[in-house]
Amino acid sequence: MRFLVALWLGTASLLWAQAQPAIELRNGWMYSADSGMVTGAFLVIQNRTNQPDTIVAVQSDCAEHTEIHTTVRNSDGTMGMRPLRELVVPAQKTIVLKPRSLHVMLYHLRRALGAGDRCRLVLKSKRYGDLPIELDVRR
Amino acid sequence: MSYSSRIRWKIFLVAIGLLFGCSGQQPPRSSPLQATDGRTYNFPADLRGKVVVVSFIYTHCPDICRMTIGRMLEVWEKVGSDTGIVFATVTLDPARDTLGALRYYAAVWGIPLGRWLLLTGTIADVERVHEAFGVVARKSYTERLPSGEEVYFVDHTDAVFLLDRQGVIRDRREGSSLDVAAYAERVQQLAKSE
Repeated sequence: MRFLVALWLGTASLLWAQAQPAIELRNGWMYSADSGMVTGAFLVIQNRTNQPDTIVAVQSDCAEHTEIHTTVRNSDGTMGMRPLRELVVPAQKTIVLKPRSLHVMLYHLRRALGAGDRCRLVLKSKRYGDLPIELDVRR
Repeated sequence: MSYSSRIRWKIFLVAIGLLFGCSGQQPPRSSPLQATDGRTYNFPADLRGKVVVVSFIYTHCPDICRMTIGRMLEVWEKVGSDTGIVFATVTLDPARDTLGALRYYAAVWGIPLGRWLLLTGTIADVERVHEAFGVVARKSYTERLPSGEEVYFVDHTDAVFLLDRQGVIRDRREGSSLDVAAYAERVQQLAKSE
């Protein structure tokens, strides 16, 4: 009996682990904006593996061009944005893209996106290829 | 004048702006700006007699300015019914933020034009307003998109200001992280005290 329980638990945990994506994207959202405008998108990236991964690009059908940006505070107190060529997600770590911090910059929306709409974003992972996520649009 | 001399001169002017702008004694120096209501204001002098909430944004900024405008909209919901209070949002990027761009921006974000003015002007006039408030706005980096379009961003001060009816700055704080309830109370207090 104990053997069967152990076997069941082992199998269940194995299936659960296999069901978890190596790189999980969640809680994706973006600011609403009209056609042609720039806007920001945010999400959580979790690396469940024991190897670091690198996001080398982002793409979205909603925008003409997409980049990963970070918001910086300069020594004189001013705030600004800088593009990142890539974003490293360390092993077993979670990175949060959020306002006033890391974000995805969407240039020139192809259509107006209002609250309640959705937009598909694809992160290009060096190890795992395309990682898609649906963003909720918020006002 | 060399680039470094210009930067030093600008920092000096900003320091002067801060000294006089935030001392609570002198209203900031005014310059002519065009507003979304179609009028030209000697800003901020022409708004004396009102309590004025002043913010600075540029329309190509999706992060800090978007948060500031979001906070300002929430403050407006709490205090906007008081006709003694005016909101004024000045561009940080007069080269791109034409009146048309500002009106479009207002429509997209649901900014209630009327007693909320969005203001722009010549680069020189807008820069004079920045200096008067101790606000810095400088082009940070430029890149070319795959489409060939050149885009730039602006490093800028993240601040909102509160002017009393005499046009004197009574409050300055960070805009993107504003505590809406506390700030709305501060605005209402000033409006009632005058």
